[in-house]
Amino acid sequence: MEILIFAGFLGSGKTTVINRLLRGISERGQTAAIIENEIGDVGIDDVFFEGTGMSVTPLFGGCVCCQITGSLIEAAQRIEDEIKPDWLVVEMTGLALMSNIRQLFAKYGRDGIVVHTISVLDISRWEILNKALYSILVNQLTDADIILMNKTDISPVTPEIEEKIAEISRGALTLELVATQENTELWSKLEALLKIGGQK
Amino acid sequence: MSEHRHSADCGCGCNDHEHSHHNHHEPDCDCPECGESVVDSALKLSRSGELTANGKITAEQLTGRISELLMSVALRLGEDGFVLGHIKAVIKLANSAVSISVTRVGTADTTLLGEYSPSELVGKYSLTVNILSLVNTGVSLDDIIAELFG
Repeated sequence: MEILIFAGFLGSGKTTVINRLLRGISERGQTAAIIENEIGDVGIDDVFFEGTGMSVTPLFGGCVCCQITGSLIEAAQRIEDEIKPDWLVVEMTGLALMSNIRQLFAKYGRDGIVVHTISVLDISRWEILNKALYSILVNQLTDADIILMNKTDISPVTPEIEEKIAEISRGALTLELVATQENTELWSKLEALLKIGGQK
Repeated sequence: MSEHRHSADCGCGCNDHEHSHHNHHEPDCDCPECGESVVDSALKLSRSGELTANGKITAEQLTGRISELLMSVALRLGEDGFVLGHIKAVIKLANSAVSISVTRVGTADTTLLGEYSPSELVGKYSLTVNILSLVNTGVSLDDIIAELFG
């Protein structure tokens, strides 16, 4: 089992991206399980995963990167033992910090566990995120192995933005996408990036 | 969002400036002046309810009405035309669901799930709303709840 951690600011499109990827995973004959983390007490994104046939473990009422940390590790280990999926997809809250998650698995996860960190970046809000929430932006990009630059139909990725992302992320692999549009190759493209060496 | 900004020279007594305070939450932050995390000061609403329409409203009309309400919330919370957070809702109907997402003022993105039919007359439905905004302009949560859940 390999773990895919999805982080990215609130509303960046994490759930939509994951939903697309799960279809690709399924079409390739691979299996996945999902852990869904929500700060609120009520889950809302799990409706996207209904009908996928994949196990969804909800972790609500706090962010696993700092508030309910034990729950994430426990859930991941249980899923590995009981379900043994090819991929464990963890959707973090929109305020989760990549560095905290890495440290969590390094410290408490099983030996040899492979963790890939993927940050979904809402390009359409790039300017306001830079202006108002720069340190959150940096924290969510710095420890990402792969950055998915989403909503490029609303705002294009300019050379300046690309350069800034490369600088902040210290060379993370990137992929542009419009998660709301059908893309049957999205999982193949992401899997290729994971194999290239998308792991810091 | 808290107006207290930490820096190397802020003099609050907190010696740890390897990370930025007030822009992320960290459980070990023991800064004497930093008593809150960005999540604590954010506007948060997480509510679900079973509701009944009068049977004369279509799924499309209901979706439109709730989208308008969420966009009005975004208007009150928006900064430079954007929501610094996420306003989202899911309406579950008999055999379908609609997801509504607002991250930009004036725009609601909807995703139709299941066997959605815009002309379906709505009787009972469930509504789940999650709002998390790092901009907290004093919007009344009670007002929002009343508007959405009646």
